Amino acid sequence: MSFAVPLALLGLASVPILVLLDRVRRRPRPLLWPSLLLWRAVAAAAEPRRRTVDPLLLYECGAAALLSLAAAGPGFAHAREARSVVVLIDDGPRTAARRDGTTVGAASRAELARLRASLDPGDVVREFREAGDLRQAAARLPDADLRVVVSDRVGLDSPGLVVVGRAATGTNVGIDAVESGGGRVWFSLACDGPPREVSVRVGGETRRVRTGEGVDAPFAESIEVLDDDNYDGDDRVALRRVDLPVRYDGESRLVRAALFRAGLPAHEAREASLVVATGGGEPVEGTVRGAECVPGAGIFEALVLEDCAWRGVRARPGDGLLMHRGRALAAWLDARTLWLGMPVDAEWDAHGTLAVMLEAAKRARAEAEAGGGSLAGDAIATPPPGFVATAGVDRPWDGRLPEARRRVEGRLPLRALLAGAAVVVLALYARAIVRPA
Amino acid sequence: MPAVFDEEFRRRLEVLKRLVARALAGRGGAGRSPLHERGGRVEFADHRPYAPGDELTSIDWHAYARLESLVVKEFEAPRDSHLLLVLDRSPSMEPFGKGRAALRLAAALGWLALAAGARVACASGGGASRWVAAVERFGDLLDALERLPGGAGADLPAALESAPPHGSGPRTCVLVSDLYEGAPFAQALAALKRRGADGIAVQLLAPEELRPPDGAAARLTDAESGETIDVALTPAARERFRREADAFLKERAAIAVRHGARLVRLAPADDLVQAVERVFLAERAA
Repeated sequence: MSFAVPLALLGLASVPILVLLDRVRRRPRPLLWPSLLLWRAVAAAAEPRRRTVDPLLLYECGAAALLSLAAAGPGFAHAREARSVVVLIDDGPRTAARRDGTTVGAASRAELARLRASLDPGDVVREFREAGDLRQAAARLPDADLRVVVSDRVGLDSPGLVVVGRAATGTNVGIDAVESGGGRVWFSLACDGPPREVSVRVGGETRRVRTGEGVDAPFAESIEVLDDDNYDGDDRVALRRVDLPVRYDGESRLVRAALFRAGLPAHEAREASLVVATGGGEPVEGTVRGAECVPGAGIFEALVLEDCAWRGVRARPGDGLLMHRGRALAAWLDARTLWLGMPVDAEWDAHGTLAVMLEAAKRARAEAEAGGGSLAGDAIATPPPGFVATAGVDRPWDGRLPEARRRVEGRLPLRALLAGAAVVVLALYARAIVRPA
Repeated sequence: MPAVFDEEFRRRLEVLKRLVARALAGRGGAGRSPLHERGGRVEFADHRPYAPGDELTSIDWHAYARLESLVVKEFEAPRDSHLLLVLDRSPSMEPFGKGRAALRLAAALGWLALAAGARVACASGGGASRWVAAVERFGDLLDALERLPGGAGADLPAALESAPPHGSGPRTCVLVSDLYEGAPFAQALAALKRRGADGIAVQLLAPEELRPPDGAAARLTDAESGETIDVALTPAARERFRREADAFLKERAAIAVRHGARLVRLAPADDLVQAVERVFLAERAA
């Protein structure tokens, strides 16, 4: 609603003019009269003077005000709570990387402008810039229970934290966090660059963990996992929110493992050989059971984390993290989901992610078989000691944020209603002129 | 000569002179001139050729038999007839042109009376003139009319008191006023009645002052006292004013009836000839 419209301004300006004209019209006219003999009785019989408003003036002002309001384009206010959006903007040098004919930074700014335009005035927007790792920066933000992934396009029906910007390949740490079905939880960090130390939060405590060829680490109190019911397109990720109060009471272990059969049809191997190494030391061999994922039937979501594509498939407890040639290829860490991941390159096709991943898994298996039954890579076979998880609350994302209580103005137009009322008032005005009371 | 008595006005007076001559000829009854009411004696003055507009009854048929041409007889009023013109010169007569109309009416009446052979004087609350006895002295009467002093109110009894004495002949008094002040009006009529004079009251009122002004409100200032009142001209107030005006007119008429006087109500814009006719042909109040 705005009065910065010529007709609206004209209508508003006419109201005081009408009042002024009415006052002039009602001002007593001075007259020299032969005698007040007859008028004294009239004045004595007159009722005490009251401040009366001429009905014609009311009609005039009412019509002017209604027309002015109609021109201003008002709307009904309705009870919708304001949204709170936290925007984390990639401000690092990697935004200079070119992609699809433009720079990552330019694409990010355009996306941010589109996001702002889609918000209502009452919505709350907070912006943060981060030159380093976006996901770690997201973990440091106060809205720790709002965790979202990177996407080229941001949908406002997704949770309140959006990360705008997409880093160049090889510079970010991919983070995945999943829930444990056995009273434990694993968090994995994947990075396609050289191993390095990163900061993560565990239960409000910040820890430094190492990334590289496959890192599992505690990450945060709240995580999101993909949900098949809310997936809204190839370029948008809708999430479910799972609040997991995680208690960390021990040292984490960086393990190296090889998962040979993962993401394979159920009729294939039921067991997987596993080599577990702790802290970069000597590997420990083990077995992974229950890799009964069925492609097609169990696939329910895909997720793009930075430069790594992930798909979740139905799985059973006992599967583990698949690492392939130094990168996390697939990880299964809870009772429901098997996460398969692979690096994204220029030819990556979101629609064909699963096929690519499965193909990668097949190749990994073939290589392992050809090479003597062992694949290169690291995997987590068992949850590291010291991680104890309690049952989380899995609920659909409802878009509500704890601090978002303000009401925002809606868009329902009143213009037609006001214009109609103005016509009625003008009709009454005309009638009063033609047939004065 | 002031512009108020211009050439057009004088020409109309000539017409009125013939009307008065017919009145002085004595028609009797209801339409008879008041100048002949009390012992007046109509005297033949002269013949003159017939002119269109002359009444057939004024034609001297005997002269026609002798001369074979139409002539009419002219008469003059008895020399002891007196006409006293009492004018209200108060400020209330200024709005709506009433003062000017009163002067013109008085001048017309005076001319006619002089032309009929009567003596004429004028008076107001502030003083009076001497008797003017001949039509050739009409200019003196005009001067006297214009010099009549005004006053704070229409002091009609004082005007009567200041009038010059007259002989034993009939005396007629014409009061020209808006008659807003009822008590002096009644006192003047009572005084005239005591003196055996014939009274004619001319109530000069503009139609504008008998109806409320236009607009939603008015600030009215009394022309005499300067008093000011604000009036909201609501429909109720307008109706109340109309009732007050009607009662005012009826009450003044009742005063005239009570004192056996004639009351003629005129407006400043009325035609002068018709106004004079109405004054001289006015019915005596029952």
